[in-house]
Amino acid sequence: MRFPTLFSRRRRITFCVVVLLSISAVDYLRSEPSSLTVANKTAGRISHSKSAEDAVQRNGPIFLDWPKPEVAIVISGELDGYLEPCGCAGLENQKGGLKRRQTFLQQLEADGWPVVSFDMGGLIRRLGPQAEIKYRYALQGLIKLSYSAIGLGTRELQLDANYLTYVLSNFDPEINPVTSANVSVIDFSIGLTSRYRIVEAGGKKIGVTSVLGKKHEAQLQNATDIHWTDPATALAEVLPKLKSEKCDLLVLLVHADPEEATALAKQFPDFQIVATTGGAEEPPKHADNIDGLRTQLLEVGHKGMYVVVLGIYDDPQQPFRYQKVPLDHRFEDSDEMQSLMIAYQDELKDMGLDGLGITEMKHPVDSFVGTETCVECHSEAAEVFENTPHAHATKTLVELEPPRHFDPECLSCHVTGWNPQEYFPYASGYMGLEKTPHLTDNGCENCHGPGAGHVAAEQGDESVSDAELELRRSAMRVKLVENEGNKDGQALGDVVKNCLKCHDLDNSPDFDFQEYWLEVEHHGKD
Amino acid sequence: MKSILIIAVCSTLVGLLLGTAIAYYEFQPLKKNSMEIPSEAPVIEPSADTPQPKAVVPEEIFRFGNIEHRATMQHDFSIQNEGENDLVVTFGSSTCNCTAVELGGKVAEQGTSITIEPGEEATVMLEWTAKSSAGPYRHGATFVTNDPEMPRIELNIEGQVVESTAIRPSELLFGTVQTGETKEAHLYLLAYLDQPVEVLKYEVADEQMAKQIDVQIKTLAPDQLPDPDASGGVKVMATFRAGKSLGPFGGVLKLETSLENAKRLTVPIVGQVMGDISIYGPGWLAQKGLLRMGTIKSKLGKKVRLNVAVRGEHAQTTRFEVDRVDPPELKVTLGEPREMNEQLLHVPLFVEVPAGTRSIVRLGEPASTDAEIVLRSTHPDSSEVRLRVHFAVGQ
Repeated sequence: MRFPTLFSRRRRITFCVVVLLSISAVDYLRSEPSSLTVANKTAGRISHSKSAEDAVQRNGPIFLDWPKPEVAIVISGELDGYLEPCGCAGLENQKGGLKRRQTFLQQLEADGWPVVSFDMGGLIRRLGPQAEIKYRYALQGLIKLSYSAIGLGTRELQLDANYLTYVLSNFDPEINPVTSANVSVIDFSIGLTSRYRIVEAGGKKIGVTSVLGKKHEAQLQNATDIHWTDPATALAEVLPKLKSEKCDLLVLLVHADPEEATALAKQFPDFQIVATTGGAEEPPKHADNIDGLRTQLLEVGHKGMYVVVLGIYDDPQQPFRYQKVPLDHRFEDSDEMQSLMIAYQDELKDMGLDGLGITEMKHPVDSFVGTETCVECHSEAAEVFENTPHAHATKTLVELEPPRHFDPECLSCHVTGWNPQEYFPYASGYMGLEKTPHLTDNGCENCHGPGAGHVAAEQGDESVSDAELELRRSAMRVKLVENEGNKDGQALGDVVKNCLKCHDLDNSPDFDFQEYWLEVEHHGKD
Repeated sequence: MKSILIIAVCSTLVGLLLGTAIAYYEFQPLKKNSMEIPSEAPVIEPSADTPQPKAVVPEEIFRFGNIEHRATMQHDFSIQNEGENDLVVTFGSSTCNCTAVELGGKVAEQGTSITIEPGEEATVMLEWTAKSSAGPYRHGATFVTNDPEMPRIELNIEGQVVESTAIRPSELLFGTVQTGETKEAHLYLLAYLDQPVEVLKYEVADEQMAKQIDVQIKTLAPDQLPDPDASGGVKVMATFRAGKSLGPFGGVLKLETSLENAKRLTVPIVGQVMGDISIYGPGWLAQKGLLRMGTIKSKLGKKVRLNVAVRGEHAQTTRFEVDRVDPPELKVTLGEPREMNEQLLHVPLFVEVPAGTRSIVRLGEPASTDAEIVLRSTHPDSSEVRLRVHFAVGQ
């Protein structure tokens, strides 16, 4: 290309440089995709993994066709103790976790969306010292995620009253988002919880309150310091106060079930948005208006696998847009929540199993001896075992970041001699790497039963008759019934039932006994 | 100088225009659903000349209603092609492996496709086995298509899993019990399929717990059932007698019943014994009177906040002061007491290993001895409160 001769060489160079710089600048600015676009394509701002793209393909893209809302209301609930997905089935196959949730919220904010987050409670699903610790970390996590209101579920109210009070009283009232119109901890005047809250974002004033439904009242028997009143009575008291704040939007969080939430929505139609727990595990694809009302009824699913987002628009034709957001691995783990998980595991370690209220229970049949003892006679079976993940189940926990081998909820399926579903060790079961090194991994006795009696008889430590010797051998044998398996049309026998205690829907959704058995198949003594 | 300025302005304008054009070409505004079209599905860009497939799904959600636990249900959905070109439908994923999918009459794996000719329709069968516990369910499967207007189809089945029996609540919950006092808790064992409910045998599994708990079983008349849908039930009532041992207690109540699907049931027993003065916070083991602070890096130090709670008639008047601390490196301070109500006082207690503390091991027997904090109290029944502490400081 030739430039007009009136341009000197220097001017031509200047022209070219400025043009190129301008092109680059515009191209760069235009090509910087929004975080949400990134979230639909990749795991986050940095990584561009194929597997993350698979997550979008599997669980669907989000926020397609959404213009920037005036405000985005993010609603969650029923975390059920799942601070993070367990990872047993591969994190790419599991949804949920506070680490991903924070990344998602950060992406919304990075795109300039005014965001307000509410949670309906149900942060834990068990009781006892570990649940108490977990509740504190879950609450801390949601506060770090800037949640503006968090409801109370039954389980948190069933915790030791003093512990609950301890947790709530240690939050600065300015940042304590725990909210309930109808449940007070000690007394509303103490200020451990609020009856409602007012939040401002994107130029909108949002009033929010929460109730614990009638269905849960019976479960609060003996809950010290907890005062429950009928939700409708409480809302009749709180609603006038919310209305007097002249909010643009009123939100009701109902910790009950959709039926009770719908009834409350009909009784109190001033709430434009009503969210409910107690629905199905997966939130619906669409949010529906409640019959005869303009109220949006939202479900969020279970275990924190999803959050739902309601976009608010100044558009009379379409004032709301709804999106259920699968918290899959398109969202990277956030560093801040990872630090929180490390602190949680550190605290479990400091408490120790005894401090977590883990007490041994006598096994109804016998005592455990450990895999090494079995191997002495059953070497062929041991060879098969050594090549299965069962043989390094404890090591798997130790090598995680942070390690999980102080967490009873993980240990119960990764060591020998525990009740997998109730998270307690049997007397003579695993109690620690140093204390019981012979009981690491998912050893022989988890399937065959404790072998102390069998070993004592075989090794002559106990003198028994031939009949008794055979009886003890027989007790250790597990026998498959014909076509035993866990799939439709297969026979659900005792062997598979035992497998399913660990290979359950949460932790091993792909479990197919007949397929997995081929990997571990072994027969009797050498 | 002036000409250079003109050149700069002109070249900037030219650059901006070219840059905008290039960027627009590379990153066009998002078309509807443009990002959800997976590579597997052949995409035919809409144009006036190219005939398009058109997916029509008359029904996206089917409600099964109530189904029993472990029952299997199935439903056929229809996908019609009202377009002018072949519609390719590919099975993408299902929400749960408990959902089986058939596409056009054949079992579908992820990636399985069928082609529906214009004017034709295909059947998608979803089969679901109720493996989850009682409650609502919603499961489904996602399909991708080459219809630019409907590149993704989600089909869902919904309903309610019901069980033939239920335990409500699922534990015997005693909450907090004062030392020396008794407290009652109860639960209901309910049946929903007209079968008689009888507890044939019961046993508290733990020997010590069995000494502290009395259990009574009462068969309920229809008008006493807490759930109108239940066909029969019993009330399990338990009374717990607290001893002097403080802290959480728990155990298992084993029931043998007449119910076909629930012959043996185990019910957790949960509660907490506390005295007038109790301590709460991270690392505190109430039943051992022990604070575990773990291994602390000297350069970081560690500070724990506990709460000393005083209940009962002396709550308002009880005050504390730090009497002794061993080793002296532990820094212990009391915060401002807070009256939660007439019967409850909270006093913050801060225990700190300051940054820079020398190496110390106080992890109890056998390696070392306990550290100890002693609080002097004005409570008439407890003149002092002792806290054992385990910690180690390393570099």
